[in-house]
Amino acid sequence: MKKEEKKIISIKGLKKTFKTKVTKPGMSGIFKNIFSPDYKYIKAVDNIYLDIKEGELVSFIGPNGAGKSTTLKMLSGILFPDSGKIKILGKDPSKKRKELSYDIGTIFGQKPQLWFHLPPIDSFNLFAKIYDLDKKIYQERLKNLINLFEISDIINQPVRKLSLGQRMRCEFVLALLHNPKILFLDEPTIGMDIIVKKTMRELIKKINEKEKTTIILTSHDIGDIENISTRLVIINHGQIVYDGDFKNIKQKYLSKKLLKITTEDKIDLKDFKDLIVIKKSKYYIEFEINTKKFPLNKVIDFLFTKYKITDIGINEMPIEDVIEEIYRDQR
Amino acid sequence: MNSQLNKYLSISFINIKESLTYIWDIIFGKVIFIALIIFVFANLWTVVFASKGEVIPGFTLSMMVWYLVFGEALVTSIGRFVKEVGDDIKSGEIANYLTKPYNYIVYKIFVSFGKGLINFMLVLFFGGIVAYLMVGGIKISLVSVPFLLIVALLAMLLNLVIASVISLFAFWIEDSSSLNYIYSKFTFIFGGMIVPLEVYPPLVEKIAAFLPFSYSAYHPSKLVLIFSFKTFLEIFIVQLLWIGFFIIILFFLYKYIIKKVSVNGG
Ligand SMILES: Nc1ncnc2c1ncn2[C@@H]1O[C@H](COP(=O)(O)OP(=O)(O)O)[C@@H](O)[C@H]1O
Ligand SMILES: [Mg+2]
Repeated sequence: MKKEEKKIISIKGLKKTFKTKVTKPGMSGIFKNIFSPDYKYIKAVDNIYLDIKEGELVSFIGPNGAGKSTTLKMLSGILFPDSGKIKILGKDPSKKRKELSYDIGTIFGQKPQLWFHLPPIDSFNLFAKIYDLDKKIYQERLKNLINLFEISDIINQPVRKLSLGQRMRCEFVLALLHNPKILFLDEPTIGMDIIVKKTMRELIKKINEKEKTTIILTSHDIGDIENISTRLVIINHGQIVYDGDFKNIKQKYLSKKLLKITTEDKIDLKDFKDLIVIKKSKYYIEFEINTKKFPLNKVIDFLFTKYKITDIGINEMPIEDVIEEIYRDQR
Repeated sequence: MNSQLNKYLSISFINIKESLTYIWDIIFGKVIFIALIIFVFANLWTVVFASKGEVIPGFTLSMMVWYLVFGEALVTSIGRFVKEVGDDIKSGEIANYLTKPYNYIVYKIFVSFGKGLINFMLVLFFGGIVAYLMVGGIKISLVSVPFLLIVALLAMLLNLVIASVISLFAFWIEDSSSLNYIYSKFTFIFGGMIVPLEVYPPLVEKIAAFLPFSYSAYHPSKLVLIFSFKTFLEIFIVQLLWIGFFIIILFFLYKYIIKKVSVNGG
């Protein structure tokens, strides 16, 4: 077997159901909640099978509540499956969480891990201790990461004085210091603007290519993985809807774009009769186009010659719509 | 084991280092306010002493004020520990900690211990200035200082382990600020943070003096004012016992809760 072909993560029949109390309003509700509460069962992860090879970059994409975070939590051993088997580097994360923590890097959410008022080097030194890194190995590792992420001139400045991009690079260095074979990133781009998202994507790509780190990232926005070649796993209601190359999905389903324009002149609906109009008022229209039928540049050219446009937005189709189309095709 | 302790001490150390970089924010955001409370109480006690004389036999005016300085310094030093743990749980941030090779709650204790040391010294310094200007100094023999320091550190540690046990209930109760409130009121009332327990009726005083809370405020603060090696030893031993007791509870409770949370998802 070639090295790249080695299976690093294997998931078989993974299931997780959450049981939550349904809270009822009012005084009688309080008593009912205490003495005979009603329970609601949520199938967060529902029979997932997945094999991930060493060095792969995998994106879990799905709407909010699809079960992405729950899956990552089970992979990192902080949540135990109801049934099914997980093997990471041959180990069961629910039994070997601490042992695996030396091989896995995780970033859940957006809260910075660097000490805000101190220079990054202080946080790096601390993490070297936390991960019991040998001094020599740590120095060597740090040198490499500093070069790779080009942070040599900022590691001695307090984090609060760094730009967002610089901070992000330092956060990744921190997460990679113990040379993890696997990195879990849960919604790394949530709440970011387009430019910062782009920086983030490039960093993820770089880590995967240069460090050969196996990465699983999650997002509810399929636009997030544009321009990175990744294996795409679409998750909906705890099940895998699609598992394969991102390119296929892109060609087949992402040819649709969502356009929103604001104009100074009155909008003439006749111009949009072949398109699916979603929302319309006098000076604003939201519509869908199939770029295979109507190339984007043609549509935009047309619009700009006909109308005085003050604002334009072009978006990917929401993941919910993509999923719906995948289902429709499967039927 | 040794390298484990080393790991956790490094965590305290980085937080001490960070606290020092924004020391003025701590002073203006928190310490000045506590110094103000001490100022108000010093005035209050001055009036009370002028009209009624000693409230507690043997406690002079300056002793009362300095008692408050030590009580405040010890108790406020650990910050809002319970709420911070609650926030980690609520925000899901805890996932980042649970995937690291350390124990989350021990990690938190050492973080707060580091920050707490700086807070403690700042309150002692600024509160001490206020007390000195208002009521003059008190006599502390130089020989007693190392022993007082030991008791002070153990008081903070005890405070932190109790807070840790309480904070774990945030896994069940959504609103951790109410837990924080209950806990701070306990140290306030039963711990004797502001006035010595002698102001209570004898039975209440006896109970409060027995409870662990008073070993993180009342006993250590009083020891500063009235030092004897025998009292030091008594306090020291009971502190260790209580700390041990709560660490054992913490150990089992934490294990139980993490297991439960891993199975049920909180
Ligand atoms: N600890 C929990 N207790 C109860 N329900 C939960 C818990 N965690 C997640 N869920 C539910 O499980 C489903 C999947 O959640 P999650 O994995 O966070 O989705 P995603 O990350 O894809 O947005 C959601 O319906 C969510 O409300
Ligand atoms: Mg999520």
